[in-house]
Amino acid sequence: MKNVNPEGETLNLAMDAINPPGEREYIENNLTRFMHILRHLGVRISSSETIDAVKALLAVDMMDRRQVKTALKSTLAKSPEDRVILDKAFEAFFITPEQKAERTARNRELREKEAQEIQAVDDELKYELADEDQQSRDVSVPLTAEEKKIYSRLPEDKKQKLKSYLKKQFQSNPVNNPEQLITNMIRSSLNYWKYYLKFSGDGPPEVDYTGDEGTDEVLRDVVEKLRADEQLLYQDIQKITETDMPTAAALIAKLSRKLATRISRRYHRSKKRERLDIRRTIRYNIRFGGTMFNLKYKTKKVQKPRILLICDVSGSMAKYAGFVLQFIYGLSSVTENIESFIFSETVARITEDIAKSRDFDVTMAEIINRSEDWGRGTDFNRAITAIGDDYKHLLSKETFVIIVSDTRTLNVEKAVLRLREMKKKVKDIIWLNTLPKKVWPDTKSVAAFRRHCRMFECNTLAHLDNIMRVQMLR
Amino acid sequence: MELTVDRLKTGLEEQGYIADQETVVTAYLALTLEKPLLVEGPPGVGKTEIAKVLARVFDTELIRLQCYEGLDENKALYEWNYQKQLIKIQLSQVNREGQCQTVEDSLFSAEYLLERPLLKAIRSDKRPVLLIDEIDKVDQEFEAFLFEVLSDFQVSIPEWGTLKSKQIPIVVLTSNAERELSDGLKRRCVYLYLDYPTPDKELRIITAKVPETGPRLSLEVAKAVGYIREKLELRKKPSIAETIDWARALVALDADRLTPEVVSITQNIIFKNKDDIDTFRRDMGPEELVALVNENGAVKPGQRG
Repeated sequence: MKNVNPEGETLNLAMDAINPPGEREYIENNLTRFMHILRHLGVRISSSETIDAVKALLAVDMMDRRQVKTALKSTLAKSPEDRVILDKAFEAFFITPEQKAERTARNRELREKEAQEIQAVDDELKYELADEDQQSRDVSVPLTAEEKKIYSRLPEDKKQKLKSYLKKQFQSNPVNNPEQLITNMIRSSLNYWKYYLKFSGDGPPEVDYTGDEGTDEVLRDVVEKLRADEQLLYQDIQKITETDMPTAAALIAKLSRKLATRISRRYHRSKKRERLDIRRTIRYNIRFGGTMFNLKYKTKKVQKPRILLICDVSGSMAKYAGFVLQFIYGLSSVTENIESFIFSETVARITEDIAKSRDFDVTMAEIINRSEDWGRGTDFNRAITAIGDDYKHLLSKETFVIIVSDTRTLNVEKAVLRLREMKKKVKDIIWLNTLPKKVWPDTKSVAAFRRHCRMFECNTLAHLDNIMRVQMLR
Repeated sequence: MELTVDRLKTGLEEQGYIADQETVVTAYLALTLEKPLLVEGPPGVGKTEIAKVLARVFDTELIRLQCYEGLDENKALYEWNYQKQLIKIQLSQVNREGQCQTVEDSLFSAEYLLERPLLKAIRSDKRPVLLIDEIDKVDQEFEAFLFEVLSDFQVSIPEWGTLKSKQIPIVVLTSNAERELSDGLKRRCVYLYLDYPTPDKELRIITAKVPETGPRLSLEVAKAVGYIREKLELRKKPSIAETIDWARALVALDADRLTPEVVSITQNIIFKNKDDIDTFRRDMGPEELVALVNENGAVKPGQRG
């Protein structure tokens, strides 16, 4: 067995062993850069793990690529998800100089193309404007680079529409400074498109770009590969196709089971304490002449939490209906104590339909046929009021409420009040919001509801997974 | 004897544990760095087996702590033998011999201490293998307590003072990833993820564990199980133990290759609930499975991460 030296010494030794003194800094740099990249990809690495990694590299055969990878993997990536990321990062980072040069060239080309596109947008969005003195001048819309990028990705007909709108605005507005006004309008329209197109570049997996060219290059490479491989996980749920649905359904079922166990775990942890059962102890120990020989404890019964699932199936949520139903179905198949409601303008209880344990398709077809709630407007206030009045017995301190909705509803203020009341009665309220987090600040209802529940962004399976793994622990 | 990757691999294989390079290197790192080995993965891929085999390889004692919800320090570390202490007190009252002090001293001697797995591992003379099984089942407070023990390998018993282990035990933690473990615990461990074996590896396992299976049948079984795991959305994928059982069952039925009939009558060994049997019958069926297996000798189904 090898003796492990004190940490500092080992580190030095490691460096000595790996490289001749002249090049020592090189591998050191490389390793720290690799860790840096991993951290930017969301892998949490502590400094003690860094030291472990170096020690591990010392212990394995550095000439064997597989062993080096295993050493890094076993000390740095400590969940299946992190392992996938490390895999890709390893392949992207430790490459031959030729491959690296090729990648740099490819990246440069890409960026040049992007710059060209932006330039083209600039030209396109330029207008001649005649001001009061009948002198024409060039006016351009001051958009940010990112907004220009979005514009360049719009479908052709939308571009035309936007352009003709712009033209009209510029011509019919003989005010002094129409730019600002029009820019704002364009901006909000582009913002909409941004989410519609799922503007790739900063979408999930969440990556922190560093600004350093060499590092970002690797990061981008990894993200691309991750997206290609784990497409289903990072795709917006509304876009998951029919063929992918069985796999997605299995994933959702797995995730909802995780949610169910997590909730129950968090719940009865605090109720665990054992207490001495004096009555039973005395009765039992009479046979020993009253000596308290065998102690009897009473444990509090583990109370399974009740889950109250309230799902929005209104028009604005229609795209997510498939997900919502899979989620209800998945959660219902793993927990017994669950009540499910769907709502739009009115609310309907669907617990029994689901409890019949039939096939997903049959159950859902029946619910959809019977309910009149599909695709209507949203009135969360009415739904939550109805649940509060008609199903009072469901709201108790053992109840976890899970709401799936995009917060777009009538009567926001009243609904918020209702939610606050509900919050007092139940254990916790978790809100899975299908609205992208980036528009939360612009959506008033989000801020209002958020005060009274724990709200998570949830429009990809990766989000759902992340909620289970990280957020719920906080 | 200096431990090397190759020696460990041979050692594991001699004990009948077929491991791929990654598993061996990771185990080797855990041993060399003297860190706990945290093994995660789906049920039935040989997580617990690693600890058992390591104990055999190093010819040492295996101390097992099976985790469950509500496990506490009393059950994991030590407990005073309350009943025995009580008898002692009663007896000394009857006899009125020795003095109070001696009774009190002896009450907290080793004689009255019930050693639980953790303390046993710490007090052990030869470096033992400590298996902490299904760590994801314990409560978080206990997990925190556990990683305190695992980082110093010392415990304090108020009546005795601090006990430090003579050597750092080989610690193997297993988890079914039912719950995310805390960062603190993970930080202290070397991490190994065991997935279902590749058909190649599974073939080697079958050959090692059920040698009476002919080469053709072994290959077919390994491939069939691979296909079942890959192509079907099952509630419970067949584990290695079930593969082995299936191979044994097929041998018992005198089969020398897979046929739809044989698969049909032995399906209950691979699928352990009705839903899965239904899924198999509906989405694949014995005929298609056999056809898949016979289709192409060279093609191996890929593994899913």
